[in-house]
Amino acid sequence: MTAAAPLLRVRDLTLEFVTRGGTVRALDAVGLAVAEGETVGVVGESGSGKSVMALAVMGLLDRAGRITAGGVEYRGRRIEALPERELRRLRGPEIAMVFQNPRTALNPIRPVGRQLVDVIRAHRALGRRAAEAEAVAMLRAVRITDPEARMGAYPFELSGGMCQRVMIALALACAPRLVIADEPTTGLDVTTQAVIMDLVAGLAAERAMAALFITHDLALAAEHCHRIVVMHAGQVVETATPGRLFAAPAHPYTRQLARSTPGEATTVATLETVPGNLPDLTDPCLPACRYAARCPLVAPRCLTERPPRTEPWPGHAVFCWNPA
Amino acid sequence: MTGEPFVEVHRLSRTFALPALRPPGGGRPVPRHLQAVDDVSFSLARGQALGLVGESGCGKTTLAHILARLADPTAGGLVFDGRDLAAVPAARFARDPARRRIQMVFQDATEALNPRDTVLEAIAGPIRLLVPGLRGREVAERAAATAARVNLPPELMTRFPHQLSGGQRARVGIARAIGVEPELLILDEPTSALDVSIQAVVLKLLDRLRRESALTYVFVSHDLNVVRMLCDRVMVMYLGRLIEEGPVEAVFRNPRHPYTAALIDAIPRLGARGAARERLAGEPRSPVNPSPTVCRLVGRCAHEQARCRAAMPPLGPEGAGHRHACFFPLGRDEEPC
Repeated sequence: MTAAAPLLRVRDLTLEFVTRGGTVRALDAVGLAVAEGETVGVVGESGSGKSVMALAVMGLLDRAGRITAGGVEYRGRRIEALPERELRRLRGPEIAMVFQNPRTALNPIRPVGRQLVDVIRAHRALGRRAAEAEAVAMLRAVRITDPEARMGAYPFELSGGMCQRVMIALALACAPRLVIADEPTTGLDVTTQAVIMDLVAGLAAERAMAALFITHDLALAAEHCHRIVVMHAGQVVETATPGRLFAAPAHPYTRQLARSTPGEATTVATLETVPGNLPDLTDPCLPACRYAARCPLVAPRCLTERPPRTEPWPGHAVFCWNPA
Repeated sequence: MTGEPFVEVHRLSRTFALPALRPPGGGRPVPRHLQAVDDVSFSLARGQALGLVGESGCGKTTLAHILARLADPTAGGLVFDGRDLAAVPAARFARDPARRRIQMVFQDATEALNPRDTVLEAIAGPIRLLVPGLRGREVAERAAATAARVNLPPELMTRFPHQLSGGQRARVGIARAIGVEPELLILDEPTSALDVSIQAVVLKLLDRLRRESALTYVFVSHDLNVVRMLCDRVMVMYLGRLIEEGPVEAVFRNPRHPYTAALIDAIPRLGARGAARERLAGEPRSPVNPSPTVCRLVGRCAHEQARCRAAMPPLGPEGAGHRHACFFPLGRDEEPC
């Protein structure tokens, strides 16, 4: 990490969705920073708010979503204050997104080559020929064999792994400085997942591109990220390098999560479960630490006072009243 | 394990006919078939848990459906507790006395449950159909007892699937299968739709149920660590072929087939950032009209030689506990025991 201002800074982002069932307090004072060229992993269970945070960074929030405090800064500009026209200029050349399910994110009735050409021409002043050549080069960069022939293929003609490569090619087509990948390998086989992650990590290093990598797979994040942010129920609970996080997790949730992930040496006896469920985020009296109801170390003030940020180690931050 | 195997699968194959395709240069249309399961043989002792792993499209779900007798094989035998079931068509098997003894837990409980059935109805349905001589009240009692076995609280019995959490739905799916007290349970990715914290609860539950009722499991999964934890034996499939089979620890510690090694290598590990690994090149070959004289891994394998393109390696050694289908296996031979 450099001393310079980070590329992306999410500062105390607090966000609600107003629904018929009540106000969902989806994010609570979420903070994180991504430096130029850095790969940051955001890990948490479903419902932890990691995807909502990514959409807020992209300025793609649903109308029902309302930022009540904090905000997102990209290279010093407040994203939530930008008009849609400015946002469109940002998306693609500056920040690009790899969406979760390539089969639904790609247009099913348009050949993948055309979709690539569309993106390239929307953001760069290139003629059709030049854009097509660029699209072929992108498909080659994501290691699609025989890219010229694949330009005319429809998504249904490609395997899941190939569709995901096309998604990545779309995101990288305008050489963004920051790519946000939301569960880019969920639904893929482990072998394909390994190849895709190598590819993204390789391209990120090659182009000095920063990445925000969202996943529920702790081990996958550990393997590919410089830094990991652990989220629970819309709050950041811990952030550290993977080595530090798994050698000395300071937050009880991180510890439970690591112990409930089956590893090589895990037996049924040593496998631990995270007790309880995610709290109901429409509850108007959520505890200050939203992990309190599930936490083995819960103390009275966890319910009433926001846990402070402490640094047990340089670069390792935890939000807990009883950190290990 | 002594005596007759509980489940014996002998040279089982399943092909799906595809429309014939006219070659690009013209001429007669070429008949095509998709070889989903190709010449698979194995046996399973009572009370064992067998893991079935491989990439999507390798035929593991088709094999699971055949074992559960929801699909018919095109060739080969399936002997269950001394009786050949391959001869009974799947449609007729629904009314076979053995239907109660072989049950299946489906992949995504959200899709597998009828949205208009309450939890009680979902669990009672199979009991009413398959356990003869029970009266309405006894069926309901048994359903409630089954729900308790999978830790579903009684107040959920009147709920509909959309009112349940993912973990609760998975439990209803399991309860449906075990309510009729089966002996062989086929589980197709029972936890792949769940978060790790919920997955851990369901895995512990499955392990407890197996021990309580001496169930035999066939556990289909893409998560090798889960298979390693829950199963006694593991089978690795690739494009319809069984390419390695053996006790879990032997296969994980000493994989012989390069594909198995790559599969194990691809598992992400906590605290192992940037470790250089072996990767498989490219994509699997097409399962349509596969050549019977070429190893299926040709083109992706770093160790292939001319012999791999001239003959299909057989699964061997015959009768060994740990078998593999490779001419040039990795690792070391094991002591026969």
